[in-house]
Amino acid sequence: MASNVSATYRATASSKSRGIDIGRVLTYVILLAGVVVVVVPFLWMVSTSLMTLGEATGRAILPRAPQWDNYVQAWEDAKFSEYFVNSVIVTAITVGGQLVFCTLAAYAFARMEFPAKNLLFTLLLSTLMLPDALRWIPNFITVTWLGRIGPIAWVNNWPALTVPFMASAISIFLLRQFFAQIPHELWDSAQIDGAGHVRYLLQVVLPISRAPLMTIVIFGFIGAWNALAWPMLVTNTPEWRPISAGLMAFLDEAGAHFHLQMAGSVITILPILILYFVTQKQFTEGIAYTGLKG
Amino acid sequence: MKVRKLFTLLVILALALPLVASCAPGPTPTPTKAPAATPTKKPPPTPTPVPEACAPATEGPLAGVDPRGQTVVWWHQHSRHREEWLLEKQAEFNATNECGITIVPENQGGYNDIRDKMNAGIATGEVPGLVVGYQNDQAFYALAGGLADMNPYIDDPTWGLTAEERADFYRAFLEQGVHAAFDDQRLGFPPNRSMEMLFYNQTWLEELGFDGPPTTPDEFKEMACTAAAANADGTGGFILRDDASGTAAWTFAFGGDVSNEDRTGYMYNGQATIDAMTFLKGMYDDGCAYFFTEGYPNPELAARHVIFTQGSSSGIAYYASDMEALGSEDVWGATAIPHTTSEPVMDIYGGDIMIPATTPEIQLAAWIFLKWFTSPEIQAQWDRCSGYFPTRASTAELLTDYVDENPQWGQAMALLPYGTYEPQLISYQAVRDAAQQAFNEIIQGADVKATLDALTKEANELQAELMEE
Repeated sequence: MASNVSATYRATASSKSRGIDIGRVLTYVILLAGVVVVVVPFLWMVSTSLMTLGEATGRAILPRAPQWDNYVQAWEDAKFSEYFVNSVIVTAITVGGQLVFCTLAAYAFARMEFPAKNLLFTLLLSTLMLPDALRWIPNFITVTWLGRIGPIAWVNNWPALTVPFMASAISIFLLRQFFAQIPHELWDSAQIDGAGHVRYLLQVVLPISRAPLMTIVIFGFIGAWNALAWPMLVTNTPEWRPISAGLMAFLDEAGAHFHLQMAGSVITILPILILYFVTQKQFTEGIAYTGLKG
Repeated sequence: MKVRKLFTLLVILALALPLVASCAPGPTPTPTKAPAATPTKKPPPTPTPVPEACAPATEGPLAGVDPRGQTVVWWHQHSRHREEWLLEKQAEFNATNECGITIVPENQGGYNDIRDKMNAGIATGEVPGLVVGYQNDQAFYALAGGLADMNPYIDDPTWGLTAEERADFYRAFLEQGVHAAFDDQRLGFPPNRSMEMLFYNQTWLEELGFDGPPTTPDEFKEMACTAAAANADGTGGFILRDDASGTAAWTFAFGGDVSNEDRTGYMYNGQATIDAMTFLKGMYDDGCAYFFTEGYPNPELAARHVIFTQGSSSGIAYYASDMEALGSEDVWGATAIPHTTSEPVMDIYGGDIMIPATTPEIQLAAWIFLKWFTSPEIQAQWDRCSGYFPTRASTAELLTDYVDENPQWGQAMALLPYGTYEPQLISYQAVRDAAQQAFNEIIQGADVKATLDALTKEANELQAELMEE
């Protein structure tokens, strides 16, 4: 037995010493393929954003002379200055709402006992299976009705754009998974110190949940920032439309103004990129801690 | 204690919100009921002085309906310079119309977005006074009771079109909004149109020994094959278009139709469609036509990779732009699809403007604006701005200088009197996909007759299914 182990060890060591680790090479090849799949469309977008219309429709790979003016034209044509502010406000309200409501819902599902808890959680998870388009009409009817009975209009206003997204099933699930892993001893200790659920949540749970909270911030931010179909449904004027609505200015029946559309796309994704780079560490930790990682 | 109660309340709210947001019930939809007022909570418009010139009619079906002082919201898909022009016209109309009508144009995204909004709006009663859409959209909205029949407005002795005005519209354009499947109701009115065209490189044709573009399929094939032989690499001839409008255009050019006789169903297996598909398949087999899927065909024409392409007249500006971008000095043009008929039969298409079911007053005000918007003077301005074609013959007289500057556009406009149109049926969006698939199957070698029989059967079943719902 010992000699077998020793032989295996020697074989492995010999293979490594020759510098060939097939498993590692294979891993890098697969990762490299993934990088290409992800990065090439991004590079294509940046390259096209600097082309003339002729180059963009003519399948050029690189612009002959970078058209930096495309960014200025895209900004002006798509009225980004107007939409940008809307997106910032709507995203901030949505993400703020998600932090409050998803945290509370997740905490209740993870740490509290109440009738039909599992049934409610199953119902919540089942909403993940519904395509977004299926919810548009019922949600539209709901926000219209709430606008009619409430003190402020919902349609064509911030409530219709934010409230339906303040409770995200995926974010609740994610936080619930993390909260459920917190050792019970902490809750026991908190109780001994006289803490109830509120103090325990605010003073114990949330401070150690920075990573998953940042993860739902990023998910929420991306969802709210990129939203288009729902905002178009519940707004009639540009007053509250988000930045993604501006990109539609470059489409008409005859085709797309690809170069301007791509310049606009670069502008719209910049905030997401910046947010991701700033919170990259917490995001990765959040994914790992909440069991989403495969 | 208070904090605990507040916490409990918030927890309950947090648990309820996801379920409410996903599955919230709404009021029972009343699609046929007209909404009482504007779609959102806006302050009521400032009362406008009521001129006597626009007093309600005393006779006819619209007797007693008063359009004065109404606000009409118009959902459209136009952006950038087109939208800016519309806003200028809005100001002009609002300031000058005798009825004190206020028109409010609002961009609502593309046709798909507008379709979503209309479907949601019909369910809640939040619909605008005017909306753009294709003919199959009209059928959808009509099925839900969401549209007004425009015949009473057009025919009205006080507010309608005179016989002269009606005759000024190209016949097919005006007919396209009349739906046989809905008791010949007029569900849309044409503000502009585009057309399926053949684009060609005149300079290259002359170099190959031809005087000009083809008029018959045989001439077309000869020219395309000559150009393909000159390139000798599989390109050069004609880029096939697998879109359903391409199939319809070739069927029309071969003297047939893809609608059945009373326009309540499909007929993709008529002799003309069979002949047209067989002809195109023959061109493909002989190396005179090919598929190009890596981008738009316009740069291919500009780069002399192909001598003929087919597409919408709305692409004329793109062809011109690509010619310039690639530094081509070739003369190019737009002409009719080669035809076996004595005169060209052109496939015209484009969105209509519809009047959703609201109140009689808003509906009449909407029609008054629409009548103004389609008057020749306004149409001529709109065509210059948008590149669309006019729907009235007399508009052409106001566009002579524009035609001089845009000769290909002028070539195409000359073909407007020969227009006909594709099915206006509720299922046409889905049937278009099926037609495209059938075209590709035929080119790949499937039996032409059997494929078109299957397509016709599938299309008619789809139509029957949707009309039953």
